Amino acid sequence: MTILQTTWSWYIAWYLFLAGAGAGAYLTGAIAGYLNNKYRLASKIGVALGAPLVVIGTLFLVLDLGHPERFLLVFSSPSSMITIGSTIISVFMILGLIHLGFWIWPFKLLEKRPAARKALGLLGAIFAVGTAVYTGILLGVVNATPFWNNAILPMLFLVSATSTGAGAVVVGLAVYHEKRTGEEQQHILESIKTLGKFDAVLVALELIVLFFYMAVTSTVNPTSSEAVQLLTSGALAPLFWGGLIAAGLLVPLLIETWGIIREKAIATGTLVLSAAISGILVLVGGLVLRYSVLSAGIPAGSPVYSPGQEAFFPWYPPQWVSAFLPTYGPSAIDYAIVAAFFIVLAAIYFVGAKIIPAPKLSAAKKV
Amino acid sequence: MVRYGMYIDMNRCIGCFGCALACKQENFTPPGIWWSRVHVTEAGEPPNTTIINKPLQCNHCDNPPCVTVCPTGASYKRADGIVVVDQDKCIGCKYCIQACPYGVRAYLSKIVPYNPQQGFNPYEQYGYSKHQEGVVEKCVFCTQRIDAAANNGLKPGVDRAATPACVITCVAYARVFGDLDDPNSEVSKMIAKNGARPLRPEFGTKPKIYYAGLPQEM
Repeated sequence: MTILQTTWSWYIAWYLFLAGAGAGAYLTGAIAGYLNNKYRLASKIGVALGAPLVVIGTLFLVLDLGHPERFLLVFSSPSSMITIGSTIISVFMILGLIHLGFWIWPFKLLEKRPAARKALGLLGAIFAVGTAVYTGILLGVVNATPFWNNAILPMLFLVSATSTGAGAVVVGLAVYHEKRTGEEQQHILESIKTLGKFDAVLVALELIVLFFYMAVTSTVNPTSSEAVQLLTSGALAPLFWGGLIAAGLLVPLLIETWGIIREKAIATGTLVLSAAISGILVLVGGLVLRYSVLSAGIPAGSPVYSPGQEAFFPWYPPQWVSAFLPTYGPSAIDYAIVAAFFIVLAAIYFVGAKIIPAPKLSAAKKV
Repeated sequence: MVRYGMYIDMNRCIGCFGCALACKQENFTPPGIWWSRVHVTEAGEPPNTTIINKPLQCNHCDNPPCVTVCPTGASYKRADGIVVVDQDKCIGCKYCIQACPYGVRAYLSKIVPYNPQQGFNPYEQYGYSKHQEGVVEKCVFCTQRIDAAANNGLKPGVDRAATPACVITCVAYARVFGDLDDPNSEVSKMIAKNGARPLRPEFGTKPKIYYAGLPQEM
């Protein structure tokens, strides 16, 4: 029975997911802002989600520490990926919060300065890509874990981050679609369609990169093929196949492809709803991907317990063993966390779209 | 400059776990934390298998990945080659636990007594004060003994009071400690004589514990 990697578990999975989704949302918003004025709302939603999601992710990271009060010390050692990464995401958070604060709320200085906004967006986009890639490099440089130690993982996390970020922006757009009318609603619909195509390409790319990732790591050495086996046919298989491949990648891809092919024949309401559903599923898939990759990161070193030693644990007092009981598979709580995330996202969409009244628009507001 | 390392003879090790317990006694490691342990496994293909008792502790590598990945600089290598953790700087991010290819670092989340009904005994009260919760710890080659030796003119590896506890207690005399840079030290001579090799050299960490009698696949 393979023991899961549990030193870095849910706190780090949420951090990697939120940092990636925030960076991806900001990147989507920055690209949308460059492309066309019609995509203005998409750009605003992307920027509004970008830095705050990364801030919440960093909160999870700090909570995982043994001494959170000492967290400022992370900037001390340039040879460490944590120091490099913390610097990158700190710069990103500052840029993202400036972009958010001076464009959306509370100041509107950048509203009439598109050139400054685009320059800030470009700079922020560079650090957004850095944030998304660093989450993969953090794991990728760990020589001791063969399943992580390759160059594909940062690429996988970058594609996943952009895809989840685009999915988050699509859900936000779908909420706003119910609240606007006329030309603005038309532009939102076009943004949703374009983002849907963008996200479909990203999800397809993610499937390809994931396939190659699993194929290569299954041949590198016995420890990494044990990790791949854990994911494809072992204790992590239900989460991997059901949560990630099916719900997180294939179903959104099918929905988005159907939306692209049958674009003219589908009613607007159905199109927006299907975009929201695929966005929510992509987000859940991103979280399951991070948790699966972390839990399958079996180290190459000898396990803490010799084979059969854990059989003695029932005889020991609980206080001794509770801190270091080995885990062989996800528990009901782990599945519940994933399910709860899906339910919360669905609730945010349905409540936001249907029940919360539209905010008042000022007469001079142009799209 | 001295470079402290160790020699372990697997042909002499009887798997008594004395080294693991001597370390626990000397360093007052709380329940759940083992700085030195013995991994019992088997080698060879059936029907030609043997039981292998592999003592495992921090190898104090010359190229330690745990030092490279530590973001605060808490994990560092001393001039004498011993890798230690500065408990006041460690933030408990556990990156070093991921980075160590030997899996010898432990994260101390909570200090609990060995006997919950009776609480901490005076021995534990004295010893656990040396450990901080929320930090990562590991074998330190008993630096408290080696550093005290410098003050008393004793030689680590030669004098018993200046040598790590696991080396002194070994009933089978399977362990030798000393200066690897000194060709005349006992540890260098034993390594050369028995063709001892370190664990997993392919990770490029240059570990300083040499095992004699390791099976081919380990």
